[in-house]
Amino acid sequence: MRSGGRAIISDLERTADMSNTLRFWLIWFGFLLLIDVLFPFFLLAGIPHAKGSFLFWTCWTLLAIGSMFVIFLRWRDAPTADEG
Amino acid sequence: MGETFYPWMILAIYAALGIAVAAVARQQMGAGMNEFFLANRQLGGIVSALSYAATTYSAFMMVGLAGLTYKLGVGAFGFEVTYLCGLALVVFFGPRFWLVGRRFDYLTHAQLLADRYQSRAVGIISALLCLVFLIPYAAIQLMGIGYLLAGVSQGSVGLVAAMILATVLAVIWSNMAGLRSVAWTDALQAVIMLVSSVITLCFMVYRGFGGFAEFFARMNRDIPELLSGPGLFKFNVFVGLALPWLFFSISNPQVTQRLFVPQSVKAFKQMIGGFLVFGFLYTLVSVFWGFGARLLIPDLQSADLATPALLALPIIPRLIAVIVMVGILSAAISTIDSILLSLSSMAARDILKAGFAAGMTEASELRLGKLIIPILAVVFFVFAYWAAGKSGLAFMIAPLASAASAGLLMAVPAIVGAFFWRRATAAGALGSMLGGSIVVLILQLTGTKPLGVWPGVWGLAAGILLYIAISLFTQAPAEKAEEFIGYLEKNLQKYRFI
Repeated sequence: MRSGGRAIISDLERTADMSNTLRFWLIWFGFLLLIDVLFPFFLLAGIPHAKGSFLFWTCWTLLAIGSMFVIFLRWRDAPTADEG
Repeated sequence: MGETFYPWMILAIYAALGIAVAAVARQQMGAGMNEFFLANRQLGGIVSALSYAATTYSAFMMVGLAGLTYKLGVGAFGFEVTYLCGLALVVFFGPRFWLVGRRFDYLTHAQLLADRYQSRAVGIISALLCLVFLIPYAAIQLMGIGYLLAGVSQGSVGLVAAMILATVLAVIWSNMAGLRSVAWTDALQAVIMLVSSVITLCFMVYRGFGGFAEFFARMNRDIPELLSGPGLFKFNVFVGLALPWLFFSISNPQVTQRLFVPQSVKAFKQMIGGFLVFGFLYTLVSVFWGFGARLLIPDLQSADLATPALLALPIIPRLIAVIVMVGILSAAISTIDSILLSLSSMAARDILKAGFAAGMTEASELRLGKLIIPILAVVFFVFAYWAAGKSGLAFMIAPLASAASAGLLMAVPAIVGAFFWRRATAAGALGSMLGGSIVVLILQLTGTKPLGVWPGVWGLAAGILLYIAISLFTQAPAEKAEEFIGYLEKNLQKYRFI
């Protein structure tokens, strides 16, 4: 079990180069997922109006979709000449 | 005579148009499994986006989601946009599927798992899970079509006739040119789905309420309980429904197979971007239908009747109602033919070839795959026919669809681990898929929800624990893991994937 634990840490270390960006976005989307549930259930429960949860989920979706666009608009088909 | 003729005429035009598009697609078809099931990994961005949307969005949206909104309110919107934003998983996993699909020539995600874990059993169990849980899901599409067409056509198109029509068209379109004909007809159907639903929304809002301002005012005034917080959703119901859908994009084979097919990174970007825009609009329209039906016809006996009842109102012109009927039929058929194609490829490659006939030629494999398509279609139809006669199963399409997705969720730990965890083992993947599925099946069949939590949540928790625990005590396929993950680490940055 202990060696298994070390193996997991080793795996994570091997992907350290990639993990900063990945970690940022995972935390961001995790945060979005958290407020997706917490806000309507606990903060907006007393607002019986379209300006409550309906508006929240509309804005939340646009924010999440915008975040995805930020990520995938950077993708490219082949390296540019100056970047090799 | 006129009332009966009208819906059948529109359906005939729709069927003829679809067959013509499929015939054009067939002219571009080459030979082999990759060509038939993956369009030779050469789909353009726009067709990929529309096909992804039409495959993902089924009869569930305009019938199930509208019904769920009608019954439980704004939480249905939250549940569906949670799914839509689950597409963030495609932003992370899609490029990984795409890269290894090309490098190792994978046809299905079951084949990916079998190769990555170096275990035929992993591929076979993964494919069997898809077969078991997608049969009810596909059958639900047929039931949805049956109820809707019977309702909107006021009986001139019968329940069974509608299900037969959908089954036959799905078989024809998937068999004519494989994924090429499915993707092209999907693209046509996606346009029909969105345009017809938006036109209907405009008729409903302007003729029923006088405009969007009054529509929202009526919502605030007449149904405040459906707008407050998550509406009438309970926390456990929301999580139980949303969780399987959140992982839909990496657990359902008809969707994961789409991650192999864009011809370039540019096409991949167009696929994701196009789907997100389409999905947001289509979700809003479906939810507005549900709210509109609740305001205009508040006393329906069953929430799943919201859409048929709405379309039967005099504010919706008859021609528009019939076109919408075709739009919803499109949504269902585009899902069913994609499921047929994915499951037949899995049955041929991951179950029959991997399990019983490793030396089978590609030509035989392709013949087998094509033969399985109509057989599966008959199974879907028989299941739908049986279920449509059971009043206990025939109501509330949304929870039924979500229950089917809960079973597919059990492959998620093995899929995620395949891309990120070198220490993961075949025994861990098998234990997780089998253990999680058994938990889901037992809880679903007994109707048990321990602590009020839905079966999919318990199954996923059990699957994750089993996956990690068993992997730590068994031997990992180190060489393959290094080749697979090492290849990704080297190539992800090349394309600026994260």
